[in-house]
Amino acid sequence: MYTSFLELCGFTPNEIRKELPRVKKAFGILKIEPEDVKLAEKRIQEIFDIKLEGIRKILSIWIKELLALVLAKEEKKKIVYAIMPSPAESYTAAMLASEDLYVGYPDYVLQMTMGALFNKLDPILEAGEKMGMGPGGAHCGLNKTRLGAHALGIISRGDLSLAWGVACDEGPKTDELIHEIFGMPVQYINRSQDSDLKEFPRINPRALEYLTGEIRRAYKRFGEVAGVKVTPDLVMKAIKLRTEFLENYNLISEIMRTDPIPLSQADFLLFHMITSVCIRDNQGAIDAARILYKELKQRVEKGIGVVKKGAPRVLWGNHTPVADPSITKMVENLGLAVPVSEIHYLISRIPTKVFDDPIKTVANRFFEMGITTSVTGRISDIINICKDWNLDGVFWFNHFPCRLIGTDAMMIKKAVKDQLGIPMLILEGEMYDTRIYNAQQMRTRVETFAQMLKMTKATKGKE
Amino acid sequence: MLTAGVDVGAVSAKTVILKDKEIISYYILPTGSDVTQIGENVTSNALMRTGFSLNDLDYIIATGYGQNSIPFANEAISEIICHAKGAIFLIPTARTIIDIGGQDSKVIRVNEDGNVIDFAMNDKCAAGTGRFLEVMARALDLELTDLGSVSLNSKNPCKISSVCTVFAESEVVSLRAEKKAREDIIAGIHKSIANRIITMGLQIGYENQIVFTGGVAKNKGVQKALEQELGTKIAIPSEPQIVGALGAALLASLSKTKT
Amino acid sequence: MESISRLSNHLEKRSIELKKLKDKGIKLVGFSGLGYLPEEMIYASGSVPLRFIRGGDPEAVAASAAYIPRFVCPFARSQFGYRVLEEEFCYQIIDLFACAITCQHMRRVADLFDLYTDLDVFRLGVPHGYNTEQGLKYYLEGLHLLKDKLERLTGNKIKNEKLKNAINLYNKMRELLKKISLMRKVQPPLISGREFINLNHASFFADPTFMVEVLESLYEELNKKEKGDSDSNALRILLTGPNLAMGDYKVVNLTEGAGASIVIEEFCGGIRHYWDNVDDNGDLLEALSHRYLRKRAPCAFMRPSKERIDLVVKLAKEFEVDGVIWYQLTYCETYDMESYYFAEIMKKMDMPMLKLESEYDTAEIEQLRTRIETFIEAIKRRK
Repeated sequence: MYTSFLELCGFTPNEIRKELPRVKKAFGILKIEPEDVKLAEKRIQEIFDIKLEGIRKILSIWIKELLALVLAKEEKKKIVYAIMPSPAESYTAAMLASEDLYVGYPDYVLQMTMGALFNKLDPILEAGEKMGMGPGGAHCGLNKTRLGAHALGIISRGDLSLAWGVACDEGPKTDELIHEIFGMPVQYINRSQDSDLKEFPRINPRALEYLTGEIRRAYKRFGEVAGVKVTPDLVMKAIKLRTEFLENYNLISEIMRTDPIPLSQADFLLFHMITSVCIRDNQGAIDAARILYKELKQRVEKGIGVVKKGAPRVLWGNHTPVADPSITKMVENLGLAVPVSEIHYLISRIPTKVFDDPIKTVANRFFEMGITTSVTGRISDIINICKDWNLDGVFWFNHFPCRLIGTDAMMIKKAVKDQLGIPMLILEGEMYDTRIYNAQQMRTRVETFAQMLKMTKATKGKE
Repeated sequence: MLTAGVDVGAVSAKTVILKDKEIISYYILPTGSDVTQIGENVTSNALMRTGFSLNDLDYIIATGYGQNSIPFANEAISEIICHAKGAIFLIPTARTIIDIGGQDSKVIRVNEDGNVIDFAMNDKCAAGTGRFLEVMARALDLELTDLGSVSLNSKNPCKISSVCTVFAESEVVSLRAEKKAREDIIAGIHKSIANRIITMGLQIGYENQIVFTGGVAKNKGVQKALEQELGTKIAIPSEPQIVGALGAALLASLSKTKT
Repeated sequence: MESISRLSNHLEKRSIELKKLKDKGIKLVGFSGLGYLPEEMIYASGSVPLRFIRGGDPEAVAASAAYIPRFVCPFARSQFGYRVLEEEFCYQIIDLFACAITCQHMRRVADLFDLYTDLDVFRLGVPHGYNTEQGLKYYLEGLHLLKDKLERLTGNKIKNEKLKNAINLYNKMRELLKKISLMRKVQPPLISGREFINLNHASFFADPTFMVEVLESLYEELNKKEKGDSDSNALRILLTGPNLAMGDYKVVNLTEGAGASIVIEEFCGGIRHYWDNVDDNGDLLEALSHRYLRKRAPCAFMRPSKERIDLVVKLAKEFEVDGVIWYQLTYCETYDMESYYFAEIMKKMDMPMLKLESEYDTAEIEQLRTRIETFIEAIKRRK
């Protein structure tokens, strides 16, 4: 009964035969009924461009990640959890240490599947809210997802969580809460966000040393729990795997400069999120990116676009919503072309500095992004992107509960206005929770913004 | 050239008929519950006194909350864009527009061409809208239209601390029970609404000339409260409710000129 | 009390004093008041330390609305709001703002001062892993940078002797505050919660030497008291949460007005300020780093911060309290999450607990009153 769904999501007949028992088991744990699968099929066809083989292939990667996450308890000997924001390659290195390990990001996987594909996230979010992340506290939906997944027993308690607290306080605090309630052991990777505003893009050697030391400490604890070591070779291997994926992913990024844009950001999201998590099937993701790039090249040759040629082009600040990519489609349908999404564009830059110590390379890469260092760093990254991509405006779907990326919108708007003279629209939203915003109310604002940009573009054109 | 702009808001519907950039007629009706019918009703009412019929119109633009429910319109354009165009037409020096409607409120920055350069909008909360005043008028046994003139008699406005319409209503009832004068309570309500609107617009900034539109602009008490808080005089067009529909009609003549 | 009136007098004249000092060329250094920045260093440099710890005023919160969204701690928003309002003397008159970068909210305060004023801003990094060697090293390096900054600002070298004297002075002050605070262990407490909190907060603004002297004489006066002034039946309450700002007294007033005494307050701006002293071991900056990063109770942004929860439980037992009030600020994500498992711990102890929240809004008072009065009433009936 899941065959048509799996076919839609890019599984080959062989793969379907092999994975069907696991799918049945996983869907049972997640309480996904046949009705839900039918609805998901409909939803996927509405939101994603499943004519593209590359999109179907990447969907299969996500479904496989969901299976691996939910079945880790019975399939793997040890389970190590990741939280974000963090450099995914640091976890991939841990994953590569042994076949008997599950290492992954439970919240992102659930968001991409239960959220984006199945639209069945609400019960998980509600379970998280009941366990200490109540609705009045402006808590991030991503953390609620993780807490809720533990509360509902969808995922195993885990043997260790490597909690990166380098840019976010709520993430590791959620892990502390999970530890207090469920007993999950936690190893924190800490920092202080004290970057001087004038520093970026220079990297503070003190901060780099501290972070490198923290990662090493985390790996030590990992070694004690998992019984295997994360050697520098493994870290190097993880960096290489990631770089190979990024090289192909960046080809797609660059082709988005074309007018008309050949791909919707809702589809690109499926690849964006791969840059932020550690996955089992790295080769599959690389192949999917290659296939998609070829398909997009063909579209460009034929002049096929998802938004009209000449439409105003905007930077999507933060990143496009994960739990509901249909919002992204709505924005594009109202006449805004979105060639680049801020965070994922920055995360996908291939690290410029490679040290002898690969752990230092990983830590350094994290500091190369303005968003994790200082507000002026973030602003300069945004200004550079807007200039480089010749954008008409900035579209900011603010992730309101995030103290890192949701509290500086006004500062950024002022800088964009002062330094670039282009408009920026700030909408109150939540990237991981559809209950917070109202798509209808958004519509008026987005429409106005699109018309505003069109008129300005028309006036500029006349000059 | 004959064009029309139809603005179907949550509380009232307005149509403006333009002939060669001159307003020859307009009409206002309460929206009621049938959004699909009201567009036609208010437009035919507006046309009645002109001697023209729907078919004579060269181009029609719909706007407002019900903009997609006007089947006879050629196009729908956001009410913020329409408001900007309408305000500049009536008051060419307009650079900031404060619009307080029945169910939402907006602050719009506009350049000399009438193009929107920035905007802030609140449609999530009743506390800065006409709805808020409706609820308060009821709590004080007054007509909505009397609120302005009564408040101008106030010497000592009460402080309304609630940010929520529901809580503010009970606060007003308590003030009434404490025998506070009605004009003082209403003046306090006006200050509260002015404060909310102005705070909303702080992030986009205020530039003179500030223009006040929407149904609530007919309330002299709110005007006074806004002027006190902003520290500058604000201008109000003679018929502030039709600014959106007027802008739509103007954009209609622009669209038609292009084709 | 005589010492209290002398203190009030001193505080009233303090802003004039400060102006005079500034005119003489003394530097005034504002610093983030939540207890992670060693005030002793500022004092030893010859500048006047001015703690940014005001709060509780909705106008200050509203004044920041054009710069930072609503979903940020109201205390943090207020810090910048006071500067915008230009009504609080200390926020206008300073030459340097030394901000300990603790939680994400305080970080934004530093950003706002940096971006929207031409004030010099110094950031002291506070690592969120306070118990690691690495974290301590990082923090100590930050103290060295702070020392350099202060020396450059004032043109004075912070010599060891000056720093040692400063540490001794502040140690004395903390000791005295603690001694007086502990006078609430008896029933009825020899000093009310409100009075003590006022005293604690006064120490943030008074001249430190004068403060020590006043505290000494106050301690003598209180020692002579046979019995506290409050009702012997008054309930004993422990108040805990992120921070109790200077001016944020509604919960304190409502609680003591409802027939309870606040016998201990575990907050920044509460015991975290005076509970621990700087040890006398060798290198002074190292000693300061130990006291300010490790010894004091860790705030909730620290990971893990269970140590503080354990301390609260210990205090509740030691002070024989009848109930615990958890008073947090809206949008403080870390305390909000902690309150969940803290409540579980309280339940297991069979200790009544009330969780309150505030956004520094005047409209909250009646709701807080209802909750607090009901809570106190319910405990009384249980007894």
